[in-house]
Amino acid sequence: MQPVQHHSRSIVTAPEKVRPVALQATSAPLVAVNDSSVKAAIFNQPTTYTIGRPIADRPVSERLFIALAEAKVWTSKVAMHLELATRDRLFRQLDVLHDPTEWADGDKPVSLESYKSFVRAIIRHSINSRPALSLMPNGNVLAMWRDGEDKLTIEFLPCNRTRWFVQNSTPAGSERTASTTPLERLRDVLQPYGAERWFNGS
Amino acid sequence: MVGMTNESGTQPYAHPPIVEAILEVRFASEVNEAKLRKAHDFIEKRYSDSKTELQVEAKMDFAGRTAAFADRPPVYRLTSLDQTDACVLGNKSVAWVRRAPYEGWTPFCQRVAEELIIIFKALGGPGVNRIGLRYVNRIDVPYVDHIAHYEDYLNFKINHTGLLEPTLIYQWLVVKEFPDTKLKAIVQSAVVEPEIPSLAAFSFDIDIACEVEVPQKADDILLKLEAMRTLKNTIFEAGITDRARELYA
Repeated sequence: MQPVQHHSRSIVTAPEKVRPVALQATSAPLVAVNDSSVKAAIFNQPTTYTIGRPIADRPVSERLFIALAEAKVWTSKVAMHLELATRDRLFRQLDVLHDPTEWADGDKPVSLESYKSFVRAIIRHSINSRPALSLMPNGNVLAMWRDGEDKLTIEFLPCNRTRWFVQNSTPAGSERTASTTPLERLRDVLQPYGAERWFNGS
Repeated sequence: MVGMTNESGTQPYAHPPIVEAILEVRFASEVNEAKLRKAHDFIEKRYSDSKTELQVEAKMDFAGRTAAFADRPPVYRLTSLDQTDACVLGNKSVAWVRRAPYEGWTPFCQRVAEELIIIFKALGGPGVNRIGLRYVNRIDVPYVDHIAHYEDYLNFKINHTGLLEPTLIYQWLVVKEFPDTKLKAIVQSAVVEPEIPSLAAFSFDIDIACEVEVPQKADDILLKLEAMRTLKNTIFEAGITDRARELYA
């Protein structure tokens, strides 16, 4: 097999991460002579770097742009599983939530890991309703549904976990329930409260 | 079915697996900063946002314990509001990007054609030494008994024996030259990070390059792109199975 690393390839801007990243390879055999002149030659080659301030030190508008851009670029990886209208609505909601003129000092823009959990929930549970969205101070996505006096609020946590709260009317009076659950079990655990009315329809 | 786009250039698949389509034109020599800025200013209004990435060149001399730094021309990264369309303009290359949802060859090529002419005019006809057309596809497949059978979706695969089955991961890359069109194909596939719960994922990445007899004029480049697109489509359609097509229908 021919060596491939010297082939000039076209750039990609959102490279896929080949997994598992933690896979460990056995060390290459030790060489008889450590030829440091080779390394020196490599380091003596001029290398161009992109420079910029740490994200935390950048102006608010730039930090908001970066967070939004990361979320939207990540969405392209799963866009084939999303209806275009759903994607467009999500992006509009994100844009509104990150309006620099309305931004409060100290708030954090959307957490990418929380956003991933939210979008994965939409795909996994075929959620085609239109929840109101908000951001927690730590950047987690908060989705809210309302049906008369009944409410469902889900905070999407990183790593495909959710924290939810239901306020549900019963003949015996209103009841409130809260819990945390893995994203995959969301529809199951909300079934007693009528998951369909929240997740299906508008 | 001809390919990722049909002959009319519209997208035949309802849910195409394209994560990112890239068209890159590399310059034969570095263009100067003033011309680069001019090219950027000409196309800036076509995008919703433009970011300037400052570049610095560093040369480390570890033996002498010294380092020399020099400012280099910036890279301009222009993007649409939804981040699906982008143009990355630097002094060594310009690249156009279309991320999912991919709408088809015609709108992508139309944008490239319009901006290529504008940029070449601003740069004063830079020499070109490589054209690349790259499509990164992502195929999400279900597990069957805890195993994702990528071989059911890709016709191109590693033919190893049962000794190595089932594999934990795989990765392959093939480079082939096509003498009739003087194009090169760099095709690769690998297991990638899953993004959808209960689905495994692998990439199918097709990079078509023109590195010999590279056209120098914008019109000729656009003509060459048609041949590159045809080869890309041929490889894609030969590479996927009907079962994969069902995923995109």
